[in-house]
Amino acid sequence: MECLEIRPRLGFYLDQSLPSDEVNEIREHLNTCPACLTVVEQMERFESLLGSIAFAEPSYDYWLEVPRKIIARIDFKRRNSWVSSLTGSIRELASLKGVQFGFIGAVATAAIVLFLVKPKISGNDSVSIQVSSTTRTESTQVTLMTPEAPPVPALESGTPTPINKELEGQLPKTVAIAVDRPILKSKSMAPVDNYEADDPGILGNTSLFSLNTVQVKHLRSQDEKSRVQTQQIYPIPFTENVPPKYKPVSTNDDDKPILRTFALDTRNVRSTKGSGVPELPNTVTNIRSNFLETLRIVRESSSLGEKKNIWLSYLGRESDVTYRMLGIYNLAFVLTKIAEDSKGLDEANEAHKFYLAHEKALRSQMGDKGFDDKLAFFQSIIEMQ
Amino acid sequence: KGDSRAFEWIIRKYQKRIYFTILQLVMNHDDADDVLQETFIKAYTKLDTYNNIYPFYPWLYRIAVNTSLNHQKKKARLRALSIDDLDGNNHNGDLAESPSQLFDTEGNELVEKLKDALQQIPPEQRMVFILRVNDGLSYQEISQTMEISIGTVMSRLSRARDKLRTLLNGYLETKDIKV
Repeated sequence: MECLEIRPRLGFYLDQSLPSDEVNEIREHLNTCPACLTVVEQMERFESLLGSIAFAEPSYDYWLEVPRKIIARIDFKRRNSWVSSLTGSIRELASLKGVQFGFIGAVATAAIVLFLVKPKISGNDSVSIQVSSTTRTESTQVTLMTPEAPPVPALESGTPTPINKELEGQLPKTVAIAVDRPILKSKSMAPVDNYEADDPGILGNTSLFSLNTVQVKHLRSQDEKSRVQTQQIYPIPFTENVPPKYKPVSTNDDDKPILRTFALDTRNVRSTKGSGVPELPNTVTNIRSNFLETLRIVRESSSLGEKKNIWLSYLGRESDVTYRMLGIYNLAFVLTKIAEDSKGLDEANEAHKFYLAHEKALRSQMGDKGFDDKLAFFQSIIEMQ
Repeated sequence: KGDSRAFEWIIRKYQKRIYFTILQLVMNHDDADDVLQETFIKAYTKLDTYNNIYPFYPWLYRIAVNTSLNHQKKKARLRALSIDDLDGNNHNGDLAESPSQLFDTEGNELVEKLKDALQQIPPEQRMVFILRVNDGLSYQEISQTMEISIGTVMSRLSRARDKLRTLLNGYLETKDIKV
């Protein structure tokens, strides 16, 4: 075989897309032709280097902005789609009546369009949903009333998150569980309707940090073996509507710990009976997804400074009260680690201020002792400098 | 059902994968950003054509590849209309991007040359080449993704490889690089 015949087929030879008899012919030729062999080797080299071409990854903020920009453009197009129809209809009408759609007509149409269309592109629309709540006998279906999102102060990176009094007053003090089975403490096996956020029997101090895995034991009778299921629980956004089955622990007692609203995620349960927990509304799952995505990105980051900025950014855009508390707790954890590692005055000051600014939220999650210990630690660093 | 907020979930789920696919094809962030947005907007407007018995990602991928190609062709046309630089040189063939956007992890000069060479290959040939070599798509898959015949896939691939070798050969000879 001549080189002229071989060369055009070398790429396909590399792709292994030629019939075996052609492959054999090419191989035979390559064994005797250094020039063609060099060509093949060059192609292999270039193509293997393609994987070495790396691109700088866009910043974290970029990934937050992209969906917003796209949704804003989609919403804008949808709002103005009737305008295109209108102008199209005007043109059609003008042409039907034999009128020249000339300059004056165009100006008139433009004036109408500008008058009627007020494009509103907002980057951070708050969402308020109103749905009815129902309760079934076997499974508790929870649908939520989500209050209007409170105003979120703008944050600059590095500044502690201010918390306004209004927001503080909205922190949930009751817990309701949307489940189809009671959650049991793994030690006592007693059914638990309400539980405290820092209860180590179920959640532990790191429970608000990540997805929680709870062992749920369904006891039928003493003769039956209990089935153990591992389920995940997660907080659902703040709601004022508690299903009637679950009475609030306390609404006015400031000494009681602040509890949380949780729901069971039964999607990964191996065996289940009953209808399970119905799906929550999209806005609820979106809020949860945003938090989990933030958590995932934080975990992937190896830099404490970056983790801090990620949580600051999250708090800057998340207005749901329940998830803000989680964000605050996580950010406190990172600031603490930074102060512990550096023992620097600025870091200790920043952490100290942050803890004081979010005292109520953090005390509820760390407990009084945990909170006071951390505060004392930061104080000791500050005094040492 | 026209709920753009629900679509936001889809964007968040796929944006990174699609972005990096597009980036490989258009070779710079600014274009990748434009194409990324266009891709999702097109996907949204075409959702009624998506058949949900098939996986979603390949459908979205196809939109991304075709949008990338159209974008690059448009860019090439606009560039062809641009006036020469003041120094009299026509930079239409010079598509080198800011070094801050592209870097190679091994500091390999040949990789830099490869990047430059790729950008000089016509967009439709580059697309086919990257889909085949980088993404490992078969000829059939490339044909379906780009909605061209397999014959066209093979011909563009062959031309891309030839051009790449021609562009890089000169460099290799001057450096006396053995491969």
